Amino acid sequence: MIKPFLVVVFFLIFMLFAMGVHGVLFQYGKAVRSMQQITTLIHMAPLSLSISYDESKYNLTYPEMPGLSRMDFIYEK
Amino acid sequence: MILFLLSSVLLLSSSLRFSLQQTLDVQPDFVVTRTQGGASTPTPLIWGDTLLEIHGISKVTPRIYGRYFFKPKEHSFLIIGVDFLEEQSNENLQKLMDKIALKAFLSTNHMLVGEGVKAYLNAHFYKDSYQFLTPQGVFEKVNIFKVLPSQTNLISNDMMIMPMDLARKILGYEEEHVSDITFNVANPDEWNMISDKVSALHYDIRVVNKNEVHKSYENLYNYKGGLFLVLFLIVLSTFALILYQRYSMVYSTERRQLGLLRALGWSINDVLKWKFMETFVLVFISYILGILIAYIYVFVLGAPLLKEVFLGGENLQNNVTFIPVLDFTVLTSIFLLYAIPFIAAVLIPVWSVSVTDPKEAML
Repeated sequence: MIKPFLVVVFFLIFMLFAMGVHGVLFQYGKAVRSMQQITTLIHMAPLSLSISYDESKYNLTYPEMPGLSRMDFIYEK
Repeated sequence: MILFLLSSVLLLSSSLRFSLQQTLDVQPDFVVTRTQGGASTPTPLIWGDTLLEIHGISKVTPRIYGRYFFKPKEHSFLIIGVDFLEEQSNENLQKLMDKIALKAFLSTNHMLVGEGVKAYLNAHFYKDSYQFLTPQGVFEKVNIFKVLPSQTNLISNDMMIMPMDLARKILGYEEEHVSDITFNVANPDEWNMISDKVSALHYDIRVVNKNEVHKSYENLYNYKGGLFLVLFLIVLSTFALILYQRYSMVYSTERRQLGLLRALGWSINDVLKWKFMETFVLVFISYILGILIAYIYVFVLGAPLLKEVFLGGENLQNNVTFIPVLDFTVLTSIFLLYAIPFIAAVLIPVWSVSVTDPKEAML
Protein backbone atom coordinates (compact mmCIF):
# COMPACT_ATOMS: atom_id res chain seq x y z
CA MET A 1 0.00 0.00 0.00
CA ILE A 2 2.83 2.38 0.91
CA LYS A 3 4.89 1.58 -2.21
CA PRO A 4 2.32 2.68 -4.84
CA PHE A 5 1.61 5.76 -2.73
CA LEU A 6 5.32 6.65 -2.69
CA VAL A 7 5.53 6.09 -6.45
CA VAL A 8 2.63 8.54 -6.97
CA VAL A 9 4.25 11.08 -4.63
CA PHE A 10 7.61 10.85 -6.43
CA PHE A 11 5.85 11.14 -9.79
CA LEU A 12 4.03 14.26 -8.60
CA ILE A 13 7.24 15.79 -7.26
CA PHE A 14 9.00 15.07 -10.56
CA MET A 15 6.17 16.66 -12.55
CA LEU A 16 6.15 19.71 -10.26
CA PHE A 17 9.90 19.99 -10.75
CA ALA A 18 9.52 19.72 -14.54
CA MET A 19 6.83 22.42 -14.47
CA GLY A 20 9.04 24.67 -12.35
CA VAL A 21 12.01 24.17 -14.68
CA HIS A 22 9.84 24.96 -17.73
CA GLY A 23 8.47 28.06 -16.03
CA VAL A 24 11.93 29.30 -15.04
CA LEU A 25 13.58 28.58 -18.39
CA PHE A 26 10.75 30.06 -20.48
CA GLN A 27 11.88 33.35 -22.04
CA TYR A 28 9.02 35.55 -20.83
CA GLY A 29 10.91 38.74 -21.57
CA LYS A 30 11.71 37.80 -25.15
CA ALA A 31 8.17 36.59 -25.88
CA VAL A 32 6.50 39.71 -24.45
CA ARG A 33 9.06 42.05 -26.07
CA SER A 34 8.55 40.49 -29.52
CA MET A 35 4.78 40.88 -29.22
CA GLN A 36 5.16 44.51 -28.16
CA GLN A 37 7.68 45.27 -30.91
CA ILE A 38 5.44 43.95 -33.68
CA THR A 39 2.47 45.85 -32.20
CA THR A 40 4.52 49.08 -32.18
CA LEU A 41 5.60 48.45 -35.76
CA ILE A 42 2.14 47.87 -37.22
CA HIS A 43 0.22 50.04 -34.67
CA MET A 44 -2.27 47.25 -33.93
CA ALA A 45 -2.51 43.78 -32.38
CA PRO A 46 -4.94 41.75 -34.47
CA LEU A 47 -5.34 38.25 -33.03
CA SER A 48 -4.39 35.78 -35.76
CA LEU A 49 -7.56 33.73 -35.75
CA SER A 50 -7.62 30.85 -38.18
CA ILE A 51 -11.20 31.35 -39.29
CA SER A 52 -12.64 31.15 -42.77
CA TYR A 53 -12.74 34.30 -44.90
CA ASP A 54 -15.39 36.43 -43.30
CA GLU A 55 -17.91 37.41 -45.91
CA SER A 56 -20.59 37.95 -43.29
CA LYS A 57 -19.43 41.53 -42.87
CA TYR A 58 -20.77 42.18 -46.34
CA ASN A 59 -24.48 41.94 -45.91
CA LEU A 60 -25.66 40.43 -49.18
CA THR A 61 -29.16 41.88 -48.99
CA TYR A 62 -28.10 45.30 -47.75
CA PRO A 63 -24.45 45.69 -48.86
CA GLU A 64 -23.96 48.98 -47.03
CA MET A 65 -24.77 47.41 -43.65
CA PRO A 66 -22.47 45.07 -41.67
CA GLY A 67 -23.60 41.58 -40.72
CA LEU A 68 -25.03 41.27 -37.25
CA SER A 69 -22.52 38.67 -36.03
CA ARG A 70 -19.53 40.98 -36.38
CA MET A 71 -16.94 41.58 -33.64
CA ASP A 72 -17.04 45.31 -34.54
CA PHE A 73 -20.14 45.60 -32.43
CA ILE A 74 -18.01 45.04 -29.32
CA TYR A 75 -16.32 48.36 -30.00
CA GLU A 76 -19.59 50.22 -30.44
CA LYS A 77 -20.64 52.54 -27.68
CA MET B 1 -9.70 13.91 -16.52
CA ILE B 2 -12.42 16.45 -15.72
CA LEU B 3 -9.94 18.59 -13.83
CA PHE B 4 -7.38 18.31 -16.61
CA LEU B 5 -9.88 19.49 -19.23
CA LEU B 6 -11.17 22.38 -17.16
CA SER B 7 -7.67 23.48 -16.12
CA SER B 8 -6.45 23.31 -19.75
CA VAL B 9 -9.27 25.58 -20.91
CA LEU B 10 -8.75 28.08 -18.12
CA LEU B 11 -4.94 28.09 -18.45
CA LEU B 12 -5.22 28.62 -22.19
CA SER B 13 -7.68 31.48 -21.92
CA SER B 14 -5.62 33.22 -19.19
CA SER B 15 -2.48 32.89 -21.32
CA LEU B 16 -4.20 34.38 -24.40
CA ARG B 17 -5.63 37.22 -22.36
CA PHE B 18 -2.24 37.91 -20.76
CA SER B 19 -0.47 38.02 -24.14
CA LEU B 20 -3.00 40.45 -25.59
CA GLN B 21 -2.95 42.64 -22.48
CA GLN B 22 0.82 42.99 -22.85
CA THR B 23 0.36 44.49 -26.31
CA LEU B 24 -2.23 46.97 -25.05
CA ASP B 25 0.39 49.30 -23.50
CA VAL B 26 2.00 49.93 -26.86
CA GLN B 27 -1.19 50.20 -28.90
CA PRO B 28 -2.39 53.63 -30.01
CA ASP B 29 -4.88 55.33 -27.66
CA PHE B 30 -7.49 56.13 -30.29
CA VAL B 31 -8.56 54.87 -33.71
CA VAL B 32 -10.79 56.90 -36.00
CA THR B 33 -12.45 55.55 -39.08
CA ARG B 34 -15.06 56.71 -41.53
CA THR B 35 -18.36 54.86 -41.50
CA GLN B 36 -21.12 54.57 -44.03
CA GLY B 37 -24.35 52.84 -43.13
CA GLY B 38 -22.63 51.40 -40.05
CA ALA B 39 -19.77 49.80 -42.01
CA SER B 40 -16.19 51.09 -42.13
CA THR B 41 -15.15 52.70 -45.40
CA PRO B 42 -11.79 54.15 -46.53
CA THR B 43 -10.89 57.12 -44.34
CA PRO B 44 -9.66 60.37 -45.97
CA LEU B 45 -5.96 60.90 -45.24
CA ILE B 46 -6.59 64.61 -44.75
CA TRP B 47 -8.45 63.85 -41.51
CA GLY B 48 -5.00 63.23 -40.01
CA ASP B 49 -4.04 66.89 -40.53
CA THR B 50 -7.27 68.04 -38.87
CA LEU B 51 -6.53 65.79 -35.88
CA LEU B 52 -3.05 67.25 -35.47
CA GLU B 53 -4.57 70.71 -35.05
CA ILE B 54 -6.33 69.62 -31.84
CA HIS B 55 -4.25 70.45 -28.77
CA GLY B 56 -3.24 67.32 -26.83
CA ILE B 57 -3.17 64.92 -29.78
CA SER B 58 0.14 63.39 -30.81
CA LYS B 59 1.53 60.55 -32.95
CA VAL B 60 -1.13 60.69 -35.66
CA THR B 61 -0.54 57.61 -37.81
CA PRO B 62 -2.52 56.45 -40.84
CA ARG B 63 -2.93 52.68 -41.20
CA ILE B 64 -3.49 50.61 -44.32
CA TYR B 65 -4.54 47.02 -43.88
CA GLY B 66 -6.98 44.50 -45.23
CA ARG B 67 -7.48 40.84 -45.99
CA TYR B 68 -6.31 39.30 -49.24
CA PHE B 69 -8.31 36.31 -50.38
CA PHE B 70 -6.30 33.42 -51.80
CA LYS B 71 -9.13 32.33 -54.09
CA PRO B 72 -8.15 28.85 -55.34
CA LYS B 73 -7.99 27.40 -51.84
CA GLU B 74 -10.32 29.72 -49.97
CA HIS B 75 -7.73 30.99 -47.54
CA SER B 76 -6.91 34.57 -46.60
CA PHE B 77 -3.97 36.66 -45.41
CA LEU B 78 -3.82 39.94 -43.54
CA ILE B 79 -1.89 42.58 -45.48
CA ILE B 80 -0.48 45.46 -43.43
CA GLY B 81 1.25 48.49 -44.88
CA VAL B 82 4.01 50.17 -42.85
CA ASP B 83 5.85 53.40 -43.58
CA PHE B 84 9.38 52.03 -43.19
CA LEU B 85 10.96 55.40 -43.96
CA GLU B 86 9.55 56.78 -40.73
CA GLU B 87 12.25 56.78 -38.07
CA GLN B 88 10.17 55.07 -35.36
CA SER B 89 9.02 52.24 -37.68
CA ASN B 90 12.57 51.77 -38.89
CA GLU B 91 13.82 51.49 -35.30
CA ASN B 92 11.06 49.02 -34.37
CA LEU B 93 11.81 46.87 -37.38
CA GLN B 94 15.49 46.71 -36.45
CA LYS B 95 14.53 45.61 -32.94
CA LEU B 96 12.05 42.99 -34.15
CA MET B 97 14.08 41.50 -36.98
CA ASP B 98 17.65 41.26 -35.85
CA LYS B 99 20.01 43.05 -38.28
CA ILE B 100 17.59 43.42 -41.18
CA ALA B 101 19.06 45.14 -44.26
CA LEU B 102 16.45 47.86 -44.79
CA LYS B 103 18.09 49.13 -47.96
CA ALA B 104 17.81 45.71 -49.59
CA PHE B 105 14.26 45.33 -48.25
CA LEU B 106 13.11 48.59 -49.84
CA SER B 107 15.07 48.12 -53.09
CA THR B 108 12.26 46.13 -54.77
CA ASN B 109 8.84 44.76 -53.79
CA HIS B 110 9.51 42.81 -50.60
CA MET B 111 7.40 41.66 -47.70
CA LEU B 112 7.81 40.11 -44.26
CA VAL B 113 5.50 37.16 -43.68
CA GLY B 114 4.23 35.26 -40.66
CA GLU B 115 5.16 31.61 -40.13
CA GLY B 116 1.70 30.39 -41.16
CA VAL B 117 1.80 32.35 -44.43
CA LYS B 118 5.28 31.10 -45.24
CA ALA B 119 4.31 27.47 -44.64
CA TYR B 120 1.15 27.87 -46.72
CA LEU B 121 2.91 29.57 -49.65
CA ASN B 122 5.70 26.97 -49.55
CA ALA B 123 3.12 24.21 -49.80
CA HIS B 124 1.61 25.96 -52.84
CA PHE B 125 4.90 26.41 -54.72
CA TYR B 126 5.38 30.11 -53.91
CA LYS B 127 8.72 29.60 -52.21
CA ASP B 128 10.32 33.02 -52.74
CA SER B 129 7.58 35.30 -53.99
CA TYR B 130 3.85 35.68 -54.53
CA GLN B 131 1.87 37.27 -57.37
CA PHE B 132 -0.92 39.44 -55.98
CA LEU B 133 -3.86 40.32 -58.18
CA THR B 134 -4.76 43.98 -57.59
CA PRO B 135 -8.34 45.29 -57.92
CA GLN B 136 -7.22 46.90 -61.21
CA GLY B 137 -6.59 43.40 -62.57
CA VAL B 138 -2.80 43.81 -62.64
CA PHE B 139 -0.44 41.22 -61.15
CA GLU B 140 2.04 42.52 -58.59
CA LYS B 141 4.98 40.28 -57.77
CA VAL B 142 6.23 40.60 -54.19
CA ASN B 143 9.29 38.74 -52.91
CA ILE B 144 9.38 37.17 -49.46
CA PHE B 145 12.20 38.89 -47.56
CA LYS B 146 12.09 37.26 -44.13
CA VAL B 147 9.78 35.35 -41.83
CA LEU B 148 8.52 37.11 -38.69
CA PRO B 149 9.70 35.65 -35.33
CA SER B 150 7.75 32.64 -34.08
CA GLN B 151 7.16 34.33 -30.68
CA THR B 152 4.75 36.68 -32.45
CA ASN B 153 2.65 33.92 -34.05
CA LEU B 154 -0.39 34.78 -31.96
CA ILE B 155 -0.58 38.06 -33.88
CA SER B 156 1.50 37.58 -37.00
CA ASN B 157 0.74 34.06 -38.21
CA ASP B 158 -1.45 35.18 -41.14
CA MET B 159 0.29 38.52 -41.66
CA MET B 160 2.13 40.04 -44.62
CA ILE B 161 3.94 43.27 -43.75
CA MET B 162 4.99 45.43 -46.69
CA PRO B 163 5.70 49.08 -47.53
CA MET B 164 2.60 51.26 -47.33
CA ASP B 165 2.49 52.18 -51.03
CA LEU B 166 2.66 48.55 -52.06
CA ALA B 167 -0.14 47.60 -49.63
CA ARG B 168 -2.19 50.51 -50.98
CA LYS B 169 -1.76 49.19 -54.53
CA ILE B 170 -2.64 45.57 -53.64
CA LEU B 171 -5.66 46.47 -51.50
CA GLY B 172 -6.89 49.10 -53.97
CA TYR B 173 -6.75 52.18 -51.75
CA GLU B 174 -6.56 55.55 -53.53
CA GLU B 175 -3.73 57.98 -52.74
CA GLU B 176 -5.92 60.15 -50.51
CA HIS B 177 -7.46 57.27 -48.53
CA VAL B 178 -6.30 54.97 -45.70
CA SER B 179 -8.01 52.20 -43.68
CA ASP B 180 -8.10 54.27 -40.50
CA ILE B 181 -6.07 56.78 -38.49
CA THR B 182 -4.63 56.29 -35.00
CA PHE B 183 -3.46 58.87 -32.50
CA ASN B 184 -2.31 59.20 -28.90
CA VAL B 185 -3.44 61.51 -26.12
CA ALA B 186 -0.77 61.73 -23.44
CA ASN B 187 -3.11 62.83 -20.64
CA PRO B 188 -5.76 60.14 -19.87
CA ASP B 189 -7.93 62.79 -18.15
CA GLU B 190 -8.38 64.44 -21.52
CA TRP B 191 -9.56 61.28 -23.29
CA ASN B 192 -13.28 61.97 -22.99
CA MET B 193 -12.92 65.60 -24.00
CA ILE B 194 -10.72 64.75 -27.01
CA SER B 195 -13.09 61.93 -28.00
CA ASP B 196 -16.00 64.40 -28.03
CA LYS B 197 -13.99 66.95 -30.00
CA VAL B 198 -12.95 64.40 -32.62
CA SER B 199 -16.49 62.98 -32.89
CA ALA B 200 -17.75 66.52 -33.57
CA LEU B 201 -15.36 66.96 -36.51
CA HIS B 202 -17.36 64.88 -38.97
CA TYR B 203 -20.80 63.29 -39.07
CA ASP B 204 -19.49 59.99 -40.43
CA ILE B 205 -16.60 59.42 -38.00
CA ARG B 206 -16.28 56.55 -35.52
CA VAL B 207 -13.90 57.00 -32.60
CA VAL B 208 -12.71 53.97 -30.63
CA ASN B 209 -10.44 54.32 -27.62
CA LYS B 210 -8.08 51.85 -25.95
CA ASN B 211 -10.37 51.31 -22.94
CA GLU B 212 -12.95 49.70 -25.20
CA VAL B 213 -10.29 47.42 -26.67
CA HIS B 214 -9.20 46.61 -23.10
CA LYS B 215 -12.78 45.64 -22.21
CA SER B 216 -13.07 43.40 -25.25
CA TYR B 217 -9.78 41.68 -24.28
CA GLU B 218 -11.18 41.14 -20.77
CA ASN B 219 -14.29 39.51 -22.21
CA LEU B 220 -12.36 37.59 -24.81
CA TYR B 221 -12.83 33.86 -24.37
CA ASN B 222 -14.75 34.32 -21.14
CA TYR B 223 -17.78 32.78 -22.76
CA LYS B 224 -15.78 29.79 -24.03
CA GLY B 225 -14.16 29.32 -20.59
CA GLY B 226 -17.62 29.73 -19.02
CA LEU B 227 -19.09 27.09 -21.31
CA PHE B 228 -16.48 24.60 -20.19
CA LEU B 229 -17.08 25.60 -16.57
CA VAL B 230 -20.79 24.84 -16.93
CA LEU B 231 -19.96 21.44 -18.47
CA PHE B 232 -17.54 20.82 -15.61
CA LEU B 233 -20.19 21.64 -13.02
CA ILE B 234 -22.66 19.26 -14.66
CA VAL B 235 -20.12 16.44 -14.73
CA LEU B 236 -19.00 17.19 -11.17
CA SER B 237 -22.54 17.18 -9.80
CA THR B 238 -23.19 13.83 -11.51
CA PHE B 239 -19.98 12.48 -10.03
CA ALA B 240 -20.90 13.78 -6.56
CA LEU B 241 -24.33 12.16 -6.85
CA ILE B 242 -22.78 8.79 -7.75
CA LEU B 243 -20.45 9.06 -4.73
CA TYR B 244 -23.33 10.04 -2.46
CA GLN B 245 -25.41 7.16 -3.76
CA ARG B 246 -22.57 4.70 -3.20
CA TYR B 247 -22.16 5.62 0.46
CA SER B 248 -25.84 5.84 1.26
CA MET B 249 -26.77 2.49 -0.29
CA VAL B 250 -28.21 0.19 2.36
CA TYR B 251 -26.04 -2.87 1.73
CA SER B 252 -22.84 -1.26 0.48
CA THR B 253 -19.43 -2.48 1.69
CA GLU B 254 -18.47 1.01 2.85
CA ARG B 255 -21.54 1.09 5.08
CA ARG B 256 -20.56 -2.23 6.65
CA GLN B 257 -16.98 -1.07 7.07
CA LEU B 258 -18.13 2.05 8.91
CA GLY B 259 -20.44 0.00 11.11
CA LEU B 260 -17.56 -2.33 11.96
CA LEU B 261 -15.31 0.57 12.93
CA ARG B 262 -18.06 1.99 15.13
CA ALA B 263 -18.55 -1.43 16.76
CA LEU B 264 -14.81 -1.60 17.44
CA GLY B 265 -15.07 1.57 19.47
CA TRP B 266 -14.31 4.37 16.99
CA SER B 267 -16.18 7.56 17.80
CA ILE B 268 -18.19 9.45 15.16
CA ASN B 269 -15.49 12.10 15.23
CA ASP B 270 -12.75 9.49 14.54
CA VAL B 271 -14.67 8.04 11.60
CA LEU B 272 -15.31 11.47 10.11
CA LYS B 273 -11.64 12.49 10.58
CA TRP B 274 -10.40 9.32 8.89
CA LYS B 275 -12.79 9.69 5.94
CA PHE B 276 -11.98 13.40 5.61
CA MET B 277 -8.24 12.72 5.49
CA GLU B 278 -8.70 9.88 2.99
CA THR B 279 -10.87 12.02 0.70
CA PHE B 280 -8.67 15.08 1.06
CA VAL B 281 -5.55 13.13 -0.01
CA LEU B 282 -7.48 11.83 -3.03
CA VAL B 283 -8.79 15.28 -3.95
CA PHE B 284 -5.41 16.94 -3.50
CA ILE B 285 -3.48 14.38 -5.54
CA SER B 286 -6.03 14.44 -8.36
CA TYR B 287 -6.05 18.26 -8.32
CA ILE B 288 -2.25 18.53 -8.55
CA LEU B 289 -2.14 15.83 -11.22
CA GLY B 290 -4.89 17.55 -13.26
CA ILE B 291 -3.16 20.95 -13.12
CA LEU B 292 0.26 19.48 -13.95
CA ILE B 293 -0.98 17.51 -16.94
CA ALA B 294 -2.93 20.58 -18.11
CA TYR B 295 0.22 22.73 -17.80
CA ILE B 296 2.25 20.28 -19.87
CA TYR B 297 -0.56 19.91 -22.42
CA VAL B 298 -1.04 23.67 -22.88
CA PHE B 299 2.40 25.20 -22.42
CA VAL B 300 4.75 22.39 -23.46
CA LEU B 301 2.73 20.60 -26.15
CA GLY B 302 0.92 23.74 -27.37
CA ALA B 303 -2.64 22.49 -26.62
CA PRO B 304 -3.26 20.43 -29.77
CA LEU B 305 -7.00 20.21 -30.67
CA LEU B 306 -8.07 22.51 -27.83
CA LYS B 307 -6.11 25.36 -29.47
CA GLU B 308 -8.47 25.15 -32.43
CA VAL B 309 -11.48 25.77 -30.20
CA PHE B 310 -9.95 29.13 -29.26
CA LEU B 311 -8.00 30.16 -32.36
CA GLY B 312 -9.88 28.27 -35.07
CA GLY B 313 -8.43 25.91 -37.64
CA GLU B 314 -10.10 26.77 -40.91
CA ASN B 315 -7.56 29.17 -42.38
CA LEU B 316 -3.82 28.80 -41.77
CA GLN B 317 -2.14 26.35 -39.41
CA ASN B 318 -0.96 28.29 -36.36
CA ASN B 319 1.87 26.92 -34.19
CA VAL B 320 1.61 29.23 -31.20
CA THR B 321 3.79 28.92 -28.12
CA PHE B 322 1.57 30.04 -25.27
CA ILE B 323 3.19 32.15 -22.55
CA PRO B 324 2.95 30.17 -19.26
CA VAL B 325 0.61 32.07 -16.96
CA LEU B 326 -0.61 30.59 -13.66
CA ASP B 327 -3.48 32.70 -12.43
CA PHE B 328 -3.85 31.84 -8.73
CA THR B 329 -7.44 33.07 -8.52
CA VAL B 330 -8.34 30.60 -11.28
CA LEU B 331 -6.40 27.78 -9.60
CA THR B 332 -8.06 28.47 -6.25
CA SER B 333 -11.51 28.60 -7.83
CA ILE B 334 -10.92 25.25 -9.54
CA PHE B 335 -9.80 23.73 -6.24
CA LEU B 336 -12.79 25.03 -4.29
CA LEU B 337 -15.27 24.09 -7.00
CA TYR B 338 -13.82 20.60 -7.12
CA ALA B 339 -12.85 19.89 -3.49
CA ILE B 340 -15.95 21.07 -1.61
CA PRO B 341 -18.61 19.06 -3.53
CA PHE B 342 -16.31 16.01 -3.60
CA ILE B 343 -15.62 16.05 0.15
CA ALA B 344 -19.25 16.85 0.98
CA ALA B 345 -20.49 13.99 -1.21
CA VAL B 346 -18.41 11.58 0.90
CA LEU B 347 -18.72 13.08 4.39
CA ILE B 348 -22.49 13.64 4.50
CA PRO B 349 -23.45 9.95 3.93
CA VAL B 350 -20.53 8.81 6.14
CA TRP B 351 -21.89 10.97 8.95
CA SER B 352 -25.44 9.65 8.47
CA VAL B 353 -24.14 6.04 8.63
CA SER B 354 -21.91 6.78 11.65
CA VAL B 355 -24.76 8.12 13.74
CA THR B 356 -26.86 5.00 13.21
CA ASP B 357 -26.52 1.95 15.41
CA PRO B 358 -23.47 -0.18 14.36
CA LYS B 359 -25.66 -3.31 14.24
CA GLU B 360 -28.01 -1.66 11.76
CA ALA B 361 -25.12 -0.33 9.69
CA MET B 362 -23.58 -3.82 9.36
CA LEU B 363 -26.81 -5.46 8.23
